[in-house]
Amino acid sequence: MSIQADTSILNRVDGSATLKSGETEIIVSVSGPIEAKPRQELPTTSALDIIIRPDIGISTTREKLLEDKLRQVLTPVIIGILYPRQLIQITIQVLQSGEDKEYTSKELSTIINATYLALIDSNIGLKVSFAAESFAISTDDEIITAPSRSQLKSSKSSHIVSYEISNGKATKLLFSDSIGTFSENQIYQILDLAATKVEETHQIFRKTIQDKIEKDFIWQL
Amino acid sequence: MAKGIEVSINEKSFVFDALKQGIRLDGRKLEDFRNVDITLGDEYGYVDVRLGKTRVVARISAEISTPFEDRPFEGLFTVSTEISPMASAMFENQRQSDDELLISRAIEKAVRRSGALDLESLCIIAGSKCWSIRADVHFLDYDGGFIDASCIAVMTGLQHFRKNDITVSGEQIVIHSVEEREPVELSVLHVPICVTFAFFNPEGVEENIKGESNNEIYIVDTTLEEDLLKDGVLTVAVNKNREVCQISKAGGLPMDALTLMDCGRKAYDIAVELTNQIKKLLEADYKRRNEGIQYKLRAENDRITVE
Repeated sequence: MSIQADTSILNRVDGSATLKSGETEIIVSVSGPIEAKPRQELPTTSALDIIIRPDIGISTTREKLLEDKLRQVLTPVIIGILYPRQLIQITIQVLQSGEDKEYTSKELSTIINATYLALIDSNIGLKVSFAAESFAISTDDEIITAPSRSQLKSSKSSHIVSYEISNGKATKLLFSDSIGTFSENQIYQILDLAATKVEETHQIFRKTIQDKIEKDFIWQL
Repeated sequence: MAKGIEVSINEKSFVFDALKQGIRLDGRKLEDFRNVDITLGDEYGYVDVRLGKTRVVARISAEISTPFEDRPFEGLFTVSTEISPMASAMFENQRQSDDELLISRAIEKAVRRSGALDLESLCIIAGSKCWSIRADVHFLDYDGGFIDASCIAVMTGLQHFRKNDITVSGEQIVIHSVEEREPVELSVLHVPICVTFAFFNPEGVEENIKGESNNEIYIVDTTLEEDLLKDGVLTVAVNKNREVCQISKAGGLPMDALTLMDCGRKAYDIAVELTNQIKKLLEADYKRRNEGIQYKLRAENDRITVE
């Protein structure tokens, strides 16, 4: 599967990234830390404002659910204590969903990855790196990594797994979400497979970040 | 919340003095339109428009729905223009600012009410079933010219989009997949192009109302900084048949009738240029999609047309 990533593409926000993995294309912008509304303000930590906008149509409960899941991933990794009473606003625009409306796995895994790059680009403090991957189990019990639209449609279950990554190794499970019918054995298999897959993805992101830093600090040479 | 961008008095006088000498900060002439960079996606109806630093993505989609009761022979067409904080922190989520309202009204008027899309061709069964076409405009980056850019994006998208072919037998509708039958294009009647002019008044309000010097400066396709300093704005939507689809003048700066005529003429020149650019792009895209084995295996042949 092809992954194309690019950062610092938007001009009016603090950090931005676009990520195209397979058929799915996402663009993420991060503004922060900025002034929070009084009702959003948290006295000891930063508030997170996550907005996910679909490629077609208006936001529905599906997008709200995705926002909620992304919040679960981001809350433990952002060092909120650095920005008390301030707001970090993350806007996610789906450009090409690459899956039917009933599924969310491909979109969510790409959103998690794109948000990671945008957060790095905006220089928000992160405790640890992270990456996600989507999986599907086909009708003949085969595990498919990063399924295509048609593979997803004919699958029995779909899964998203996200790991914390430090020193290039997947360390702790950050998030896992599964829909469909599958056995306990299969989910363990997927979790094992995911660890190696997110490490591979992380290497690609390291390259992207390295390119970005070289570009940003070119004036020092 | 993050406040909008403010321009200092120094910056303001700098921009004004430059404009008086016929110079703009980005090196353009007063009547130059920025380069429009249009990219078409792999999916039908995906258009990415870049106008300087402004970036707009339009997605066109179609579904089957029921027509309005008072218009049984017409399909539905909606344009959704909601600006997210991604474009700029001055836009708040789910709260429409005045700027945003003006932008969506202008697009609505130019594209929908000018009859650019033939709604009657979207009718499937009168009174019960019709196509509903939806244009979602996503504003990604803001540096002025939202109206112009989104108008280009929507009009290119409508021409690029293909909807699934259908067969009607009685009350039954069969929707054919893209693999089964070649999807059909929408019937776009004309291509309105919006051109926005900004007016500056270098000599004060009194001179503008009472005086006869007519020294007001107007410039085409403002960047955000110029946009924040302008005294008045005029949006002209015109197609290449010289039909003016919309004129909307806001900002309250009185101006000479001849200036209006002049703007109309300039808008026409820009519209022709852009329409040709879009046409060329769509032709290239059609060629790219239809070359290779698919093209050779097609059933249709070049028919001889008898005049």
